[in-house]
Amino acid sequence: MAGVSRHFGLVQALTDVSLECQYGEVLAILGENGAGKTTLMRILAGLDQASSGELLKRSVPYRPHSPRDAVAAGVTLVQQHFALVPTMTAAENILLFRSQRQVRTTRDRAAKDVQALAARLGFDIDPERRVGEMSVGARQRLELLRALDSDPDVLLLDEPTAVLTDAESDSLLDIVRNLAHDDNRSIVFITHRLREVVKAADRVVVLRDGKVVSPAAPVGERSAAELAGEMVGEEVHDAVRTAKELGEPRLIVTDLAATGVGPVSLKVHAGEVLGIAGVGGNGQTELEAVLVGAQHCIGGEAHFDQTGLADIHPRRRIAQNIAYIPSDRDKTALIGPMRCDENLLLGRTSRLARRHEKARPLMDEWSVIGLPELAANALSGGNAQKLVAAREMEGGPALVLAFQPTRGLDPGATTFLRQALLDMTATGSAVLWVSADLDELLAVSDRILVMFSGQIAGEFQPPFDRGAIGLAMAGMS
Amino acid sequence: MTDPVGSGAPSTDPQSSPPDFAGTLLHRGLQSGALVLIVSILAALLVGAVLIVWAGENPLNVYRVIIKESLFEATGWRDTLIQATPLGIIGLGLAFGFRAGVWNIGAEGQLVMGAVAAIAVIGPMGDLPGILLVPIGLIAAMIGGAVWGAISAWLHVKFAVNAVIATLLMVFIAEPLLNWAVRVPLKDPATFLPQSRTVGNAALPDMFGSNIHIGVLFLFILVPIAAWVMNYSRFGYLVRAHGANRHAVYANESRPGRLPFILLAMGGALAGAAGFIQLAGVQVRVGSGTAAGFGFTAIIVAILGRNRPVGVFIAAIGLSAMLVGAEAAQRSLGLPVALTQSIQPIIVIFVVAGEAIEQRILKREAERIAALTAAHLHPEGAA
Repeated sequence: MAGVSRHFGLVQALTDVSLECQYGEVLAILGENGAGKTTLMRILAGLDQASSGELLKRSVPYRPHSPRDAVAAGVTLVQQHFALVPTMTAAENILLFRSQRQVRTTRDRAAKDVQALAARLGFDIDPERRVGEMSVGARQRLELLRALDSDPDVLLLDEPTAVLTDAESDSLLDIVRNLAHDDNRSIVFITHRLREVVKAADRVVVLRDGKVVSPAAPVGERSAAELAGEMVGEEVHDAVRTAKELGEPRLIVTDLAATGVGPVSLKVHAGEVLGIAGVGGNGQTELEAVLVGAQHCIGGEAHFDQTGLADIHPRRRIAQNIAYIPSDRDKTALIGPMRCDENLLLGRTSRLARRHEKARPLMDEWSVIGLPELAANALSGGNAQKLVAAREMEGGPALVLAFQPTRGLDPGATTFLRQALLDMTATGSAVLWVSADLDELLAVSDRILVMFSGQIAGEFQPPFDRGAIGLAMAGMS
Repeated sequence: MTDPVGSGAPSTDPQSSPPDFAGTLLHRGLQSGALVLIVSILAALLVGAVLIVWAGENPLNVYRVIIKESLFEATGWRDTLIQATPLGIIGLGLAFGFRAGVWNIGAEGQLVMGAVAAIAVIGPMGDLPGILLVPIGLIAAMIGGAVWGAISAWLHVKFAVNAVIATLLMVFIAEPLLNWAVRVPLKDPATFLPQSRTVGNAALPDMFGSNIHIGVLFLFILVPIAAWVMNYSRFGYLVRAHGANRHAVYANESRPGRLPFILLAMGGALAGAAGFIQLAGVQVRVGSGTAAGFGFTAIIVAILGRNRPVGVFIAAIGLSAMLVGAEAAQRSLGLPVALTQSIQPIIVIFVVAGEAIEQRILKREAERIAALTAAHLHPEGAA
C-alpha cells in the first residue's frame, strides 16, 4: 500500500496544515464553519492553489491547476452543493462531465456504464430518469457515481450528507467505507457531524481556524466529547455570563415548521439575549425566513406579543417595532446603488420628506463612516452593517431578530455591534441572536439553544458548558 | 438620484471635506446620465455620417435638413410635437417599469387595446358634448390599456413568465383583435372599409392660435408630475429600489410581485391614454393605422431618456424630430428614411454600452471617496 502525504502551509485560511491519507482508508476532517475545511478540499481538487507548502501523491509532487488536472491525476471532488442538470437524465449528467475524449461514447453506452457501476456499488439508480425527479438521496448517490466515473484513486467528499436524512446518510456512508476498504481507494471527507465520523471514518483530523488542532488519529482512540471540545475550542472568556431573572416572554414560537426547519419551539423574554448556536446550514436561514414572513410556514405558530409572525407583511413587522438584521445583508437589507440616506428609509418610507435632516445624525450616532449622499455599496462591510443596525434599531426596538450580525466584520465593528445589541436588552428589548460563532454567543447570551438538522438539539443555561454545547452542535446529545 | 454626490453635503460640516472628484463637471455629467447620452448621440451621428457618405450624400447637409425641417419650420414643429406626444406618454410609463427592472415591451398592444376600448365606449354616444366625451374616452382607453397590461402582469407575477415574453406576446393578440373589431363589432356601417366610426365630438380641438391639438398638453402636464413622483414620492423610491435590489424591497416594503403588477398595469394605462390621444387628436377613427409602432419606438425613448421623466421628454422630442426630419430628407434629398432611422438603434447600442462604463466609474469613485472619508475621520487608520 503506497502512502500519500500532502503538506500545506497557507497564510490565512489555512496555516501550515499537514496531513496524509493512506490508500484503503477513510479520513475524516472535522471542523466548524470557517475552520478551513472547504478551502483545503478546493486546493486538493485543483479549484484553488496553495500559497505555500506542497502536495505529494504517491511520493510524486502533485500540483493541480484545474479540476481537470486533478481528475487526470485520479483525484475527484464531490461538492457540497449539487452540480447536476435537473432537466437531464442521470446518464446524460454523467456524460456531461466526461472529458472530451470520452464524450464520443453514446448515451446508451453511458447508461450501461451507470447501471454497471451502480449495481456494483449496490445503488438503486435509473439511468434514464431525469435528475429533477430524483430524491435528494438519489441525487447525492448520483454525484458520487459521477465522481467515480473517472475511476479515481482519491475521492474527496465535502459535507456529503448535509442534505440527507439519517437513513440516507447511513447508506451513503456504508458505500463510502466499501469504496475505501474493498476498492483500495483513499477517501477524505469533511463534516461537522461527529456521528458520521464515528460511523464511517478510520482516522480523524480536527481543524479549527485553519489549523490542525489534533493530528490524525484512529477514530476508536478518541472520545466524542474530546473531539467536540477540539472542534469548538477551549478559549477563556473575560465576560462570563451569569443566569439572570427572565422578564415577560415577548417572542413565543410553538412547534414552528417550514421546509428545512422544525418543529422548533422557543421563547425570548424581555431584556434577554437568546443565542441560537449551530453549525451553518442546520435550519438557521429557514428559521430566519419564516420568522420574518419570507418563507411560508407549514405548521405551528410564532407570536410576538399578540402579533402572529407567520407570513407577516414586512411593513407590519416594522410597525410592530421588530428590528431585523438579516444574515444576507447585501441581498435583503441594503440597496447597494442607492444613497445611504435613502437606505436608512427602507421600510420606513413614510418619512421620505425628512431624509436629509435625519440621516447625518443617525449615521454619526452609529459611527458609520461615509457620507449620506454616497451609495451604500461603497461602504465597507462593518460600516454597511452599522448602517443597517442604525435603521433597524432607531427608537429602541421591542424585539431584535439578529442573524449572524457580526459575520465577516472587522474586530472594531464586531465589538461595536455586539455592545449595541446588548445595550438594547437594558431597555427591555428581547433579542434573538443567531450565530455560527460560538465564542460570540457564549459572551452575549443569557441562554443558548443549539440547532441541529433544523431542530433544537439542546438548551443551555449559564455558566455555559462549552463541551456539552459542542457535542450538541455536532449532533450528539 | 439626480443630486450629484457632494452637493447635498452640509458645507458647514468640517468633516465632509469635499473629495476632489465629486462635484466636478465630469462627475455631474456621469451622475445625471447626461454625459453618456451626449457622447452616445455624437458617436451615433458619426456612424450615421459614414452610412450617409456611403449612400452618396453629404452628411452635414443631411443633418442640416433634418434639424431645419423638424425644428425650425412651422409644420415641422407641429409634426414633431404631435408625434412626440404618444412617444413621451408611453415612454414615461415604460420608464417607471424599466427603472424598476420590469421590462414592459408590449406598449403597442396596450395602446391598441386602449384605442379599441375608447371607441367602443364613445362610438355609440358620439354626439355628446366633447367636454364629457373626451374624459370618458380617455378613462376608457386607460382602463383598456391597463387591463391589457394587467393580463401580462398576471402571467408574469403569478406564473413567473418572463415579463418581456408576457408583454410582447400580448401585442400579437391585440393586433388581430383590432382587425376583428373594426370589421365586425365596431365597424362603421356607413363605409365599406375596415374602420370604426369616428370619435365624433371627442375629436380634440386645436390649441388657441395653432394647429396643434390639445392632447400635446397632456404630455407637458405629465412630465413634471412623473419627475416629482420618481424622485420624491414613496412610489418612486420603491420603483428605484426595486430596480436596484428587489429582494430588499420584498424583505422590507411589499410583497413580491406587487410592484411589477402595478407597474405593468400603469404602463398599460399610459399606453392606452396615448392610444386615445392619437385617436381623438389625429386619426379620428380606429383602423389599420392605429398600430403605428409608437409602442415600440417608445421603448427606445425610455432607454434614451435613461428612464428619467425629463430625459424621456427630451428623448421623445428628439426621436420625433428625427422621424419628421428623416421624411423631409427623403422628400428633398431622396435619402431613404430607413437609412436615417438606422441611427436610432445605433444610439441605443452606444447608450447601453456607455451605461455599463459609467456605472463602473461611479462605483469606483464612490469607493475611493468612502476610503478618503474614512481616512479623514480616522487618520490613525481605524475601521
